[in-house]
Amino acid sequence: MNDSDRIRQSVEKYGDMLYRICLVMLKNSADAEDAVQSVFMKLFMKVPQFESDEHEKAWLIRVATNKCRDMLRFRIKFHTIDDETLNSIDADEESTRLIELLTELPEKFRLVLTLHYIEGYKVDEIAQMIGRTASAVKMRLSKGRALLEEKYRKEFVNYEYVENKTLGR
Amino acid sequence: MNMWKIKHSVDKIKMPDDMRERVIANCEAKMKNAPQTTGEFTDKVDTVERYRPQPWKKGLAAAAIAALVFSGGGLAVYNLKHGISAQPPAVSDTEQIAQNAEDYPFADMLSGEFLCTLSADGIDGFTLGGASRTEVSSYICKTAKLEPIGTDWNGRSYNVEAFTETLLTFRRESAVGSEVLKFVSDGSSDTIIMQYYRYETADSDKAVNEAHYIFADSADFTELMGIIKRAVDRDSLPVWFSDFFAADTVKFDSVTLSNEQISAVKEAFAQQGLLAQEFNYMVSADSTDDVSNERPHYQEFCDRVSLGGMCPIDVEHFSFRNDSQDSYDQIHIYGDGMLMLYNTATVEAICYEIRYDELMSRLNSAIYAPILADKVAATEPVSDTASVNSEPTVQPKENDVIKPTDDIEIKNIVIAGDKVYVAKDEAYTDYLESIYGASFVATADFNAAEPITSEMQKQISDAVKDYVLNYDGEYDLTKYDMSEDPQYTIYFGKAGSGKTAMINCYNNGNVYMADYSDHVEFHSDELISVLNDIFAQEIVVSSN
Repeated sequence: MNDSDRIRQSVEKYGDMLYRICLVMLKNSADAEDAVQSVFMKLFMKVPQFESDEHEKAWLIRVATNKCRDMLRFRIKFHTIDDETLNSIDADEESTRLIELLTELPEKFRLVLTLHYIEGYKVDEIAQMIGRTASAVKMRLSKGRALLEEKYRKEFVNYEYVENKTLGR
Repeated sequence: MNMWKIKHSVDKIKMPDDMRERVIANCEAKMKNAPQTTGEFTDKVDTVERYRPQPWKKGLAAAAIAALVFSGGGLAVYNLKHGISAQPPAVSDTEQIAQNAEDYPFADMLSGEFLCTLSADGIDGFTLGGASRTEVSSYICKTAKLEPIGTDWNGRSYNVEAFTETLLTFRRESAVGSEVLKFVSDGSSDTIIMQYYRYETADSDKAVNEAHYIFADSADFTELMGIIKRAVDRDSLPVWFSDFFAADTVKFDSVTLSNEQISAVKEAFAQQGLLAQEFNYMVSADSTDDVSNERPHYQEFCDRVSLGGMCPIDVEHFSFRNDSQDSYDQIHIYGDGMLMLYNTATVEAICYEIRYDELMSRLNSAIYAPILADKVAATEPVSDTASVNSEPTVQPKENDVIKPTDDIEIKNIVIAGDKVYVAKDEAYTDYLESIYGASFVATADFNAAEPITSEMQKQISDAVKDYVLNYDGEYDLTKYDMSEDPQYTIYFGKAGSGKTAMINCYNNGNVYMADYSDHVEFHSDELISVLNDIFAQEIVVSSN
């Protein structure tokens, strides 16, 4: 397999996953693209040796999350916050709003929630990826869930309640 | 809300096709323009602004080299050579090490013992074992790029002043000065910079040598941190640990430890692989920011501090205390696996995660069993069937006995689960209720469902106080077995005084009294009898 084939195969295989993570983390599709591209370049330039596909996937996620954190720190430092409303996502309104609720959480919560609930990683695997202890990850999951629940309740439940009441249901 | 809704929504996010093609095209272009490498980092030794060793440095380096070569400890630097240098094979090991020591001013520093500080984790001043040091130094020397700051690297020009976030620090002290190797980041890029400084003792404010290198990138740094953290788990004792046990007097609960026992304690900690560092907080009344743990004891401890020091001490708890006035003077170990280092004067606490059962087992066999055995042997012959956990009837040494003082007032009582709490003021009562969800109702453990009346409270208070203050029986420290759960516990204290006390009543009739920092144990069927009368119920006392 030549380099071009290898690049295409990897991007096809992992591109969506990395883009999802980076978009949730960065809330900006252009930045997410930069981050994903940076991750793949690192993969192809560094040519690390992986024991398995899972190992490779975990490595990519770790590099991606590090990159996103770097970019977020840069934003904070230089006040270049540039969130977009994720209108570009091809999804219905409720789904888009749910994603926005997730992205509104502090970075440390949305990262572990994404890895656990979206990508299906276990707590100890996430702990290893992000360099935190398992109990810290569990705590973040717990707090993150609670925050998301609260946002969801405010966004949807109250809305439905008001809507129902207005309609006399 | 089910998380599947979120997953379902996020799963709809796909990388747009045009974006995918751009990424692929950019990666291909980058690959075509990239210099051919071996997969390792490009060796750029010839571009480095070389460090010019000082005469003393040469002497030190030579001594270190000799020590390394002849002690077998040169593996780290030997690995360093293999990782980064393209030396001709004809060059001897010693010459290669010397070469590397000059290329990297930090190379011989890393081959010796150095202190680590993990800034992000707030872990300061721990050392690594020999094998771990080799692993860490080997990784650094293999991964570090020999590029000086100020050059244009990968399209970005680095300004040393901009690197303000210190992530990791190594430090080595010697007779002639100190050496510091810092890993820093500007927070905006994924490149980690190594800053090496050397200070002479004579002028500690001025670095006599300074060098800066690029340490690969954040992914490599993450790997390095993983190596270090594994090493910390595996074989290191934090500096505070040695300092704590170097004090003139160290007590294990009520017992002053001998040097041999202190050694046994250190060994017990070392054997359990010690401490997965987890928390490091200045505890204060408003310490609520991101307490990343799920341990009830930690929150309980914070609450205790906010209430002026009053908090029940859990029965699954033991402590070491030293006589230090200006540093950490207490180590508390809890049954949920938390070790807390505590400075009474500054109310600072550092918390670590431990393997409680394992450590308890080792401490029991290393410290407690010998203490019991000594006391038994000092009074009567031990029968073949007697164990150290039997009940010896011995007189403790006089200096083991500390009588409680009368500055503790007892007022309110809370029964929660199998515990009876006696406290002075309503605030503390409310606090206990908030923790244990208890009300003033005895639980099934006491076989009584009726409320504790104010009259009963007074009776208990008077009885306990009277008994404790007037007790003139034998004090026997040997009867307290840490592994045994008391049948019930009475806590009392003075709000705001920082003083707490507790009485554990055991099934076998032993009563363990602890006040604040000193512990007293005594045997009492009488007290149990008095309490039984008050509760109008039977508290079972076993016949042993």
